[in-house]
Formats: sequence, C-alpha cells, structure tokens
Amino acid sequence: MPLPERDAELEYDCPGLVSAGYSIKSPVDPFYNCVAFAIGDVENYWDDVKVKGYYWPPGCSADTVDGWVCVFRLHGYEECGSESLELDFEKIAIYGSANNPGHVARQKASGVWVSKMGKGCDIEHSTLSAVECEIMGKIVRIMKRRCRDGRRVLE
Amino acid sequence: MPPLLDDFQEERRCGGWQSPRHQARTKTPQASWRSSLRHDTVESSVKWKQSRVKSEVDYFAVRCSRAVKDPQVEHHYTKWAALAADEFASHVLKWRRETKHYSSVMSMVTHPSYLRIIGMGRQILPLLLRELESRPDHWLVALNAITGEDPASAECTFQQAIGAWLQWGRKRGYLA
Repeated sequence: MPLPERDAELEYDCPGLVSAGYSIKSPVDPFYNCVAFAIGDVENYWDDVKVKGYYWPPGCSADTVDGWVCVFRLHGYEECGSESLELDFEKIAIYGSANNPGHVARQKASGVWVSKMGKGCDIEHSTLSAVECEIMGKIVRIMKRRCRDGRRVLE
Repeated sequence: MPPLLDDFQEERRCGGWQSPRHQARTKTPQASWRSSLRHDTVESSVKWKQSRVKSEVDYFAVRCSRAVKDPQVEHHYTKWAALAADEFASHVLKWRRETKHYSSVMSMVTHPSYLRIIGMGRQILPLLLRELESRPDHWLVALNAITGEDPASAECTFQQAIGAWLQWGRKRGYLA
C-alpha cells in the first residue's frame, strides 16, 4: 500500500512541518515510539509503564529529559552543542518542555532528520525546528556518538 | 459493591447477588431468589442501583438483562447498553485522535477519555478487546486497571502483550 504524501492530523499537531516540508516514511505503527526508533529497536515500545509489554532500561527515568539523556548515554551518546552534520558521528535531538521530554529525532548520514511521530508514522524532515510544537516541545538537548564501524543505527 | 461480571457464572450457581434493600424486602434465601423474583422487586432494585454510580447501574442492567425476561425491563437495559457503547465509541475516537502523536504512555492514559473508559468498568471489556483486536493501541493499562490482571509474560514485546490480552479475552468469553 503506497504511503500518503501528507498527514493532515500530523500537520495539525505539528504545524511547523507544513512550511518546512516532510515526507512520510512508514505507515502508522503503535508498536514502537520515538525513543525505540532513535535507538534502533522497532520491536519494543520504550516507556516505563508498570504493565507488561513495555520496555525501559532500569536506572533511568522515563518522565524527565535527564532520564532520556541517561538512556542515550547508556547507548554511547554524549551531549554536544551542535545539530550540524558530522560524518563520523550520529546525532539525536531530544525535545521537551522544561524537564518533560516529548520527542526524540535522529539524524541520518545525509543530514536529514528522521522521527517517529508518537504512535503515528515515521517521517523525514530537513530541520529540527520543523517538529517543534505543543506536543513535542522544543529542542532541549543534542547528543552524538561515534558511528560504529562507520555505520549508523538502522542505516 | 456488586460482584464482578467475571464471577457471573459462580454467582448464578450460588443463587445470585442481591442489593441490601432487595434482601430486606424479599427475605428470600439467596439460592432461590431468582425463582421468586417479581417485576416490582426488580424495579425497586433498579431504583436502588440508580442512586449509585452509573457504571454500577450499567453493570446491574447487563446482569439483570440476562436474568429477567420482562420485555419492558429488558428494553431499558438494552437502551442503557446502547448508550454505553455509543459513549465508549466516542471516547475511543477522541482519545485516538488526540493522542496519536504522543510518545509517553503516561500522557496517553491520563487523557480524560481514557480515564472515562476505565471508569466504565468491566461492562465494556468486550468492546475494548474488540477495539484492541481491530486497531491495536495502548489499551493494556486500561485492561489492567479494569481487570486487575496482566496476562502477558514479563519479557514480551508490546505486540506480544496485545496477543496475550486477546487470548485472555477469548478464554473468558469476552471475544469470539
């Protein structure tokens, strides 16, 4: 089934995407979220829920930006100040408001960003600010890690 | 509190649950209360139940609709059940739309529509499981809150957990 070119509900929730442009890369899928997607584990829904069926690494909080930073540190990421493309590094950007995390996007080798939009679809967007909205929040942290054997997650 | 729908079989075997007022009026031993049930006692029980929260009233409606074959009484219960189904559907629609781009399960399950669905109680389990089967989504917290059970295994994925809940629903007759 061909993917739609646009998602009206997504554009309603994240109006910045309309002007910045985006492309849909997957159908709607509730089985994984943005954290799982950024880590490269699309088999699990990453959240700290006390009901079976969810995964969250022990020792980190799921409710704070610092907790999300903790999770990405476990996967080799370190905080950095720039979102610009560095060929030897893969980068992620955490969105949130105050200390409440809302979203995380991952940079591809081409420099474009990819995001799993909640329970919705995966999209590609050229700028990080395109995804900033009430639900996702604003960019609060950028992190990077050296590519493993020159390869990036899910690429 | 009335017994839960899951206990219906056991309850029927033992003679059924009665409201305190019903017990006081009829003085009927539990084991034979169903055979001596009259229309007026049903009505008084219903009135007693109507003073309780809506979910309890709905529960009673479902329960009595199985026990009493009075067309007028049954008509009211059918109406209640239809209203509950409509309410459930509208909350599902609203919740699905408004949480579509949420990543946090906590944010999803504290949405007012999700909380209302939990508040509707066991009577909506068939609807909820059917919804989970046709459009998999984050209903596991609601199912756990309503039933107090968690049939999935500890290490399973979200998709596997949904499978476990559907199996649980079929085993208990909530799903075909």
